[in-house]
Amino acid sequence: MDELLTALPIMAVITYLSRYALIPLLAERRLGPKMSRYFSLIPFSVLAALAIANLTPPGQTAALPELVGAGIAVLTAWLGRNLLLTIVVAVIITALLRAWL
Amino acid sequence: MMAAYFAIGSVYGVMANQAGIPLWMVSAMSVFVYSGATQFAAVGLTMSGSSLAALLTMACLISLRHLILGGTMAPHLSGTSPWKRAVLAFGLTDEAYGLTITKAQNGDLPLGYLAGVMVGLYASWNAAGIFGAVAGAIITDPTKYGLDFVFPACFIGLVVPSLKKLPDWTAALLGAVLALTRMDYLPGSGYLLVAGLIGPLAGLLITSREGLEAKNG
Repeated sequence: MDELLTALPIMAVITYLSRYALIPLLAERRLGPKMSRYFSLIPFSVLAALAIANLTPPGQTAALPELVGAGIAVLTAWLGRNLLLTIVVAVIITALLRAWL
Repeated sequence: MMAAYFAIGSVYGVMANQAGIPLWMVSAMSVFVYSGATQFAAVGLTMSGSSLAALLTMACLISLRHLILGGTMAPHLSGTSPWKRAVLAFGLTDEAYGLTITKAQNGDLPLGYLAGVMVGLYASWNAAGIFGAVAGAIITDPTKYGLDFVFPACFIGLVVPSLKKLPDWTAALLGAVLALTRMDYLPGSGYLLVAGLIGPLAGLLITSREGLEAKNG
């Protein structure tokens, strides 16, 4: 918890600066297409990595309910394109599978 | 959007409570950090006992996307005073961006509308975090209800609908594969740094190759 307490104000500054930094710089200019494309791809990699990391906690391997739940989440997200729906469906399916298996 | 924010913010509060994070810190993260992905990831990393370096690396990597939001919103704020830009930047979440960028590109983004969206979402997010943290005290075993699965489901729900082209999928899949290797090859949360830097590079290479092929006919 001490780590989080120390990190909190720094995370706040990092988050704010990341939002603000380019506004004064680019109010009149734009990023080059390659740099812009590179930055736009970063969230995909980071979010996918976070999904996997939380699916398989360190020292463990994902069991069938988690793998099925992840598959359902991908399908629901792809078809429904709704974050809340994706979370609700995936959580319910995973909980039910854990109870049954 | 405010209702969805409240629901997701409540889940954040529940998970933070289950992670043993005190209410004031749950609320402080919403007040000062105000970034859903960063807050969810911070709770996840805290639960797994990650280091300060891992938390800050995560915050940096997740926040990189804000450069794009700020960078693309910047031209639409060119007529705004510097201090107003500085204030508005704080509320530039993915959702606020999504709700306002189309109007901005159409040249129809009154400052009041932008500020109204940001204030509404901010209030909703903060109220939800407290509500979830308080309600979360009732739940003793989150895995029983699958609540621990909110994290991967949330990140999947954020990333999958955004994947439109092959480079997007490449970056996401490579990021996922690199994350899988973390236990054997990378210390701590180094996988986030590697995934965040190499995944997009692969996507960019495919983008360039597609561009060349299209150019050559």
